[in-house]
Amino acid sequence: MNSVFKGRQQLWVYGLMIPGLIVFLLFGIVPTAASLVISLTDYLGIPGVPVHFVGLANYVTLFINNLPSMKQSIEDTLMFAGGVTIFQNLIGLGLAYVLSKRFPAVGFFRTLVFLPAVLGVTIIGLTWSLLLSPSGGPGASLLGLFGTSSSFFGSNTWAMPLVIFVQIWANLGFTTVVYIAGINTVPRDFLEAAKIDGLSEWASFWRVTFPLIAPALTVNLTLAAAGSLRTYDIIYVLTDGVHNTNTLGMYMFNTAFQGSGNLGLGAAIGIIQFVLTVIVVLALQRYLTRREEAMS
Amino acid sequence: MSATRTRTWLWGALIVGLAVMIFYFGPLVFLANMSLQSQQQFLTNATAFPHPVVWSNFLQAWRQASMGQYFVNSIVYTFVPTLVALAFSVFLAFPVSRGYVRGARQLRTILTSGLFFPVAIIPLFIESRYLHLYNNRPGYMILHIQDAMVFGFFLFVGYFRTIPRELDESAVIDGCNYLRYLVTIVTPLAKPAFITMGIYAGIQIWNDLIGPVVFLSTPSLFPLSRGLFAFYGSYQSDWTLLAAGVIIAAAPLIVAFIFLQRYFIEGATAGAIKL
Repeated sequence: MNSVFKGRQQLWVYGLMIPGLIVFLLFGIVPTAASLVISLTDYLGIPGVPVHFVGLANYVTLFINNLPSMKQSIEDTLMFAGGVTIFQNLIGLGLAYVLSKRFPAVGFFRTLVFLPAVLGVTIIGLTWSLLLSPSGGPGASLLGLFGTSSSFFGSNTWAMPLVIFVQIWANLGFTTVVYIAGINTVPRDFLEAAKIDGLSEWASFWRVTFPLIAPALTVNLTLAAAGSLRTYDIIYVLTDGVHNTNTLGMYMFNTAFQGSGNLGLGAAIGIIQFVLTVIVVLALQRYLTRREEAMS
Repeated sequence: MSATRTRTWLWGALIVGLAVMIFYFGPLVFLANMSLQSQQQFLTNATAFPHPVVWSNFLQAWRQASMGQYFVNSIVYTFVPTLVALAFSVFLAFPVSRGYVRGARQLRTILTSGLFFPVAIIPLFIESRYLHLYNNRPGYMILHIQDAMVFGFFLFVGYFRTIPRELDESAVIDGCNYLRYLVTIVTPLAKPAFITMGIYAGIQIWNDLIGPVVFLSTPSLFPLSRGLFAFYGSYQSDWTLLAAGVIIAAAPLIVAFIFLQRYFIEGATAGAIKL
């Protein structure tokens, strides 16, 4: 509170904060608070239609009238988030272990894996849609060599695994960078000692390196879980939520903005998604911090 | 033993290198290959080299997808909100970081918690219509300030602590006013943080697809992300044209990434806490 700026200058200090605070209030606080309120109304996307408070009617619709869709959507969400979280971390960890060593072109490989992070969902989604176009193209040609074919993103069986693959492909660079940073903090002496004790490469990784990078694991698992529970833009580009890829985010988006558009119902799905995300992420964090404590 | 270890390593590096090349370089090569093929070749023999080489795909994609217009929109939509957010977040972060205003600690907690707000696309859509921000350029840009600003605030509040407080005092003694002090003294010192924030926030805005789908409906207002997606929607089976369009859209990002890699990675890792 002891500002070196006095009088008129101090007025400037306060005054310049106002525009930022207005933006924060209007586009940060108000929408966050309004989500819950809107979910209790029958707000439609069409301007001019009167809005009524309907209590929990939207939630009743979702959990009673539309229970099968809701169940399917929660299943899809957990499948997507689970698949992404587990495999992104397994692959990222392995990749980081190798890419943390020195060998020719290692910097190039790191750069390459990180590249999708700047390309954005449209470019990433369209690239994979083109590569895996069912009617021709590289993916189809490749499968043709084995005498089979697939409709890829248009297949009920393959759409979800492929969507998970693309999401991992896009975010693997980040996970890897975090793991590399973790691995670089492991003291060389520890690894030398393990070597002298005759531990194999594999054993020394699991018994020395892995416990020491617990913080990186916590960060990566939490971020992958939280991100994949919320994201839906990549799914929007690849499948638009059909073929068993209707995660809660996608369900919310299509309910609110596709066709006639039911904003109240969409907001309710958004709240359910938020609650699910918070529960999963908090449980995961609790488990991971306990694990970290047990290890240190 | 050491020899077998080295050999294992060589194999490990080789396998990983190969996998990275196949999965990360491969798609780019195929995409480039496709973009030069004729439609007919794509359907029958997409994995072969383009024969004949159809350079006109690029010109056609550029024209048919009105990419010039979308590029201009994207540039405006990205630079204006990023710079405004940069300024707003400095104006918030500096006094809060120094404790020069009342309730600095509370403000800091509240503004930082903004990073964790759930995506509120539906209320924002309703708000945008009430505030006449829907389907117009200024509105679209205003709607993108918040996220970038909160990220900047988070980054700068920490960074400003590395700038000694004595500097503020001597500036005041020299009669330098607050705004000039921020612009001429603080800005050069905080340049690395500004670049990191600008690049990270800029990339988020440039690549945003849900935003333009929800907040814009007139095609001439679309940024590249949505324009390209709309092109995909209407030319869904013109694969080779689409490939050319994707490459045109990706090229500037790839070039920027090659030169500014360090800042991209820094921004993304700093943004890591942005759950």
